[in-house]
Amino acid sequence: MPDVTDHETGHWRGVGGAAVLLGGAAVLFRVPGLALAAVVAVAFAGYASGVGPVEAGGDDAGLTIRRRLSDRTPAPGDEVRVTVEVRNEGDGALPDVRVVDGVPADLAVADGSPRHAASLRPGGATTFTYAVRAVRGAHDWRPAAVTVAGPSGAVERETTVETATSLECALPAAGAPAVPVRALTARRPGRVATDSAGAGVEFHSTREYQPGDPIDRIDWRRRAKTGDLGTVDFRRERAATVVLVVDARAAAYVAPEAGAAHAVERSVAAANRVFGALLDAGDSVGIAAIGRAGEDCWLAPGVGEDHRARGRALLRTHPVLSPRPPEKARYDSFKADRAAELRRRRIDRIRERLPPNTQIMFFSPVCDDRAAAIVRRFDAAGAPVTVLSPDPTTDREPHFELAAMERADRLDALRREGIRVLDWDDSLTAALARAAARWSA
Amino acid sequence: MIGGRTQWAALAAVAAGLALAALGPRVSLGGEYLYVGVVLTALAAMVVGGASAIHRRSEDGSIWLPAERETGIQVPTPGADLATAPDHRIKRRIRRQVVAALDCAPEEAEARIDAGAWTDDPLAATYLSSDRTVSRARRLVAFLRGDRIEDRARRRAVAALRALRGEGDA
Repeated sequence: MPDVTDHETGHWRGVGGAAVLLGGAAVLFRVPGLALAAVVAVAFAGYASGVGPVEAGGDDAGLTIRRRLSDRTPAPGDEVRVTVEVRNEGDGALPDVRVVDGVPADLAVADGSPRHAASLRPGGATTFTYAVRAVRGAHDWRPAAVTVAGPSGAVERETTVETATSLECALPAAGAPAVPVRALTARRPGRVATDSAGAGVEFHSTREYQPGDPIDRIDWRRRAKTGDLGTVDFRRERAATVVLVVDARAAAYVAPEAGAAHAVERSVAAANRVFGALLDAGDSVGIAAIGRAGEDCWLAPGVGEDHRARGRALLRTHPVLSPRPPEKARYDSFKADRAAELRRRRIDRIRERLPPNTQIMFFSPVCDDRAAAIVRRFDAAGAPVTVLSPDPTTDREPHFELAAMERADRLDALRREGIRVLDWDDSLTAALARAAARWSA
Repeated sequence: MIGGRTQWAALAAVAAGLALAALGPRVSLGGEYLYVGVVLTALAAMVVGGASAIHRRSEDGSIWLPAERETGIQVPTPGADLATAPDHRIKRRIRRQVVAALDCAPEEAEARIDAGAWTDDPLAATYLSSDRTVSRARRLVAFLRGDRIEDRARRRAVAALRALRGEGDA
């Protein structure tokens, strides 16, 4: 049963006051005209106080609402058009109906307005539309808040009208075109060309034939020239083991403007694409996140379709990667030394879990020095780090510009230390292509 | 608070006054006293009526205001913490950036900043310098423009820094 609240608007109180004023003046100055005018005002005030609230909404089924979404399963960042139809199913006319639709708390209205006012005859309907920007996760619409009033407007009835509507925003299945990984490999065949000779595609060297060498690697040219048997070695290609670490600390929840996707959302979307692309290339990929207290976010490196499904589910729903920022930074309530120790330990817990020869891809906006410290701590442990950094800065105001410069300097410092940094503004695909060209050169 | 009930009582008093005034010449209920009573009632009615007519303006309007606009998840923009930071903190951070951007030893860079020799923009140079202060005339001009001199100087200092880093067109 929805809550129903009636309140008097007081719109006609002025008329009552005027009636008393005019009446008093009529008696005092003995002017009959004023007394007549007071009678008119008294009539209005009497009418306004006599009317009750209009029956609508709730269980008496005066108003019903229907919502249509242009897309129920959009990708993050997509705009979804919401069309709302409000219908008067009751027998009486509703001259003043005002609706505020119950947009889910995590969704921003990108276009139009979820507020609407109309006058509805019995059986009449009104429609309005607005657009919301999709954010990762499942979102349910709340009941619409409705206010109805009669022709006098003396009493308003506030209630809610409910209809179940939900939107499921999942990460797209498409991977990135090609993700450059560092030359650090596991002992499984794959796509990273190593300096050791063996089976592969790219020529490495020739050597004396040894019994047991595959027949398709015999150097027939040498045999024709000299009569000796030789074997061609190719650059051995092996798979990489990569762990994608997403920075989801409170400091990473930053965006260039209100309504824009924040850096954690962009990092998760990028991690999803890189995860798919690396698995497609035969690499072994795991996922970890650094963020709010509570559940541990860790998926050990692996391959295969089951692993792919597990990874995508983790990126979509894990609470540490929630689109909503934590209430406060995790270690704020600790003393500085203790907080620093806990921060180090948090990184070490991930480091200890890394299989040998694992490389890290760290997704972070790097808008604070602690993000750079995390990169250095991974790097110091011998796990080569590639930083993939969505740029959340803007130059609208001098202080935003200053923060952008500080971030650029932080990334430059990491580059100088030999850490690969991929800084992208809008297109991850273009940035990956540029990086692949630069890093292979 | 003057509610509907007070208003109805006042209206009833007015009605009684009107009735008495109409019957006045025919009934004798106290002569002069009756007249004074009627006048006082009418005056009281006018005060109550006037007050209640004005009263609705001071009614709490918030019940008619819809909830805030649906903005979704709100997160800050990098640098937003500086918007409310004290000026000396912002100055220190700009200064640090200038020291890093000047291609010389930190001590020399600090000296150049204090001497105002790091930029051609006099306002930006004065802003970061610990030896100089903005002139009164300049402050007055900023005041007349409706501008805060610190905001203006900060904008110019950041623009000069960007130029120094070879990023801007300032």
